[in-house]
Amino acid sequence: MADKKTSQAKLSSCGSSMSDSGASAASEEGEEGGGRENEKDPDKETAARCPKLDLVLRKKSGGLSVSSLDSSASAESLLEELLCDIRRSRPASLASTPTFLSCSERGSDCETDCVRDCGRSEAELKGMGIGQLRTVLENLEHETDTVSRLLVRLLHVRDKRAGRLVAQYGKLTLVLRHFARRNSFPGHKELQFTLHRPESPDQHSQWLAAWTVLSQLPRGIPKHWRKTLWSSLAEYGTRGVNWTVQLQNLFSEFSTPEDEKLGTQIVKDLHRTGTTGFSSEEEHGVLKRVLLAYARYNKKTGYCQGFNILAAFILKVVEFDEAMALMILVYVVDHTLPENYFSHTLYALSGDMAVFRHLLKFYLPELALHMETLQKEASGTIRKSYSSENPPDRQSVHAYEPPLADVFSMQWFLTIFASVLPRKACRRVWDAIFLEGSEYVLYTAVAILAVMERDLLLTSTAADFYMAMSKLSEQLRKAHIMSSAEFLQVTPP
Amino acid sequence: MAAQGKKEHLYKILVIGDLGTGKTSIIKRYVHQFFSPHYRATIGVDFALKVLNWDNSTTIRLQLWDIAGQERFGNMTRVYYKEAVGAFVVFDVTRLSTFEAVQMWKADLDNKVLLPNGKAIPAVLLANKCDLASEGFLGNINQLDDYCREKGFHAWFETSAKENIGIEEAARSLVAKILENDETIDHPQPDGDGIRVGEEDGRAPKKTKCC
Repeated sequence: MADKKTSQAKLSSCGSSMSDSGASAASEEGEEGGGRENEKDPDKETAARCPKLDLVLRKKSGGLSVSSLDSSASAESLLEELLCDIRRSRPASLASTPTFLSCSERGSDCETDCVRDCGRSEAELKGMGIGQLRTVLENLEHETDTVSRLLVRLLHVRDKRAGRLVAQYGKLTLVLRHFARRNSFPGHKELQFTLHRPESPDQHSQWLAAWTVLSQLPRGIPKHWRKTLWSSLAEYGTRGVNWTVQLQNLFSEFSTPEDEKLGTQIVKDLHRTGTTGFSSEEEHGVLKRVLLAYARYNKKTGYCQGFNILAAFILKVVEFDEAMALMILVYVVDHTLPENYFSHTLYALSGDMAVFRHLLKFYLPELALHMETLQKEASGTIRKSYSSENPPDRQSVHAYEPPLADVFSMQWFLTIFASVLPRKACRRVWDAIFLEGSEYVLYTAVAILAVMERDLLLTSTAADFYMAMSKLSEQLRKAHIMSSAEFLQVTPP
Repeated sequence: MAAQGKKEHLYKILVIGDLGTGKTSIIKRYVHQFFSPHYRATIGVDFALKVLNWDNSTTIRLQLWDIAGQERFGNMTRVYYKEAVGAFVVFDVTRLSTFEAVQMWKADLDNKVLLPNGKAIPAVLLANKCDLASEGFLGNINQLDDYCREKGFHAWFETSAKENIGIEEAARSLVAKILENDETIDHPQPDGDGIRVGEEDGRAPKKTKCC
């Protein structure tokens, strides 16, 4: 696998990088074994720079023939050939890996360095006697040999790690299948775990099933894998979008008058995300760019208050990778939740709020009844002064109180719980929404009220209810009521 | 419940105005005597309760409805306007656009809710962030007197949630007006049959809401 790639790279032009599959293979190892730089770079850099160097060296050496350059076209000798070219230029730093790497890491500087450090100009070589030239040649051959062996060893290590990774995937797959069988998860026999999403549609569903089961394990998806999952899902969910082209335009520095107007709204909300740690100028800058990029991407929806909270939440998960955060935001808003959740008159949102009220009657009938009673009573008391001698005359008052759940469900849904759940729990709720569907928005809302039910039943007026809700929401968010793990046991009801 | 002879009033008050003018901060200052620059933007609507001991015989419970400033929430939040008896319209003295939007908010308010007698509900204009006024656009803030008369505001106040300026006074002024309205609206109906006539001052309600 490594050899093949190297020879492919040799054919490609000087500045090109590895193919996508190569890059992802390397990053898989990065996730698994650390040492990502060590393994990726020599191969990539050698391949990328070789052709030019080759030419330079041939010219410089004045047609001096180096035996390894003329060897057969087998993969192994090709590899050595590449190494020869590179190594020739740095005789002093030979067998030392760090120097070798530091040369590769320096990128574009390296090439000129190499040429300069080559040490022996044409004239110099011409002036040498045959004995000296032989020594030079011997040295070169020795150096070449050492470095090629080093590279081969590194490639072996990489292959071994890749193999180990596959084996680990296999083990994890078995564990997941076992868990799925025990919990009668449909399609458990087919699930197949890999970190990155496979291309073929069959494998995609196996991959999805594996992650779904993984997300249902008591501790859910490991935190450092979530970024990979969300971005894979977002990429797949938005596969109709040409991101390469889009990203450039969406993150463009050039600002239109329309952007300016949006910008004022966005800027006002940058420090109002309620997310701790979003306080530095730099973080605000990233957040602003993501929100503006979304507004440019979907002009119809533009900027909706609440996006600031969503984007801040996503940015934390993807470690402030702007492009990735934008893709996930697009995936959430345009591909996961119903249309017009955040745009126009938000009528899809009011639809969900109504469904939620019905679900409450089903899952928490006592609380639903209590809330209805408070609502009716409030409709009879608002704006009526009364005293003990002059009790309120319900008949005479035409007051109105909207359904009590609405104030809160509106906030929860517009921020997909990032404003009410502790972050850990919220991330897992999002996992479920992504992997199993947006109905988890509704289930989660029911679960939140289930947690608060006992306290809410004690309230005696609508105002009491609202106050209690505010207080309980705050306590829930700070995980004072229960830990994230405990909350997740509540879902689904 | 209420002590012997003690009156209790429950009033619903709206706090409206453009995005980021400080509505939530004003409410938090008024209710919790507290200011933080890091409130979460209000999404949709929010609720707060302030209990006032108005005088020895009157307790007033103010339900403050904090309405999100973004236009698109208008349809979702309009139900919270119903039966409101007073409003604060807030603008930010450092941003002219928020002052220009005041007209729109006032018109929206009058369009969505009226007193039982068909009159507009009393609204108090709050020129917020006055602690930053030196950077502000209002050269002569006193012209606001004429503006308020013209636009039908009961009064206006310079406020600062941060420095705790003007908020108590503004609230007292609004509540006094609400109490006054209450007297004139409720008391001329001795038989208390609950029928309130919208046209008592000869002006037809602009828009009748059915609830």
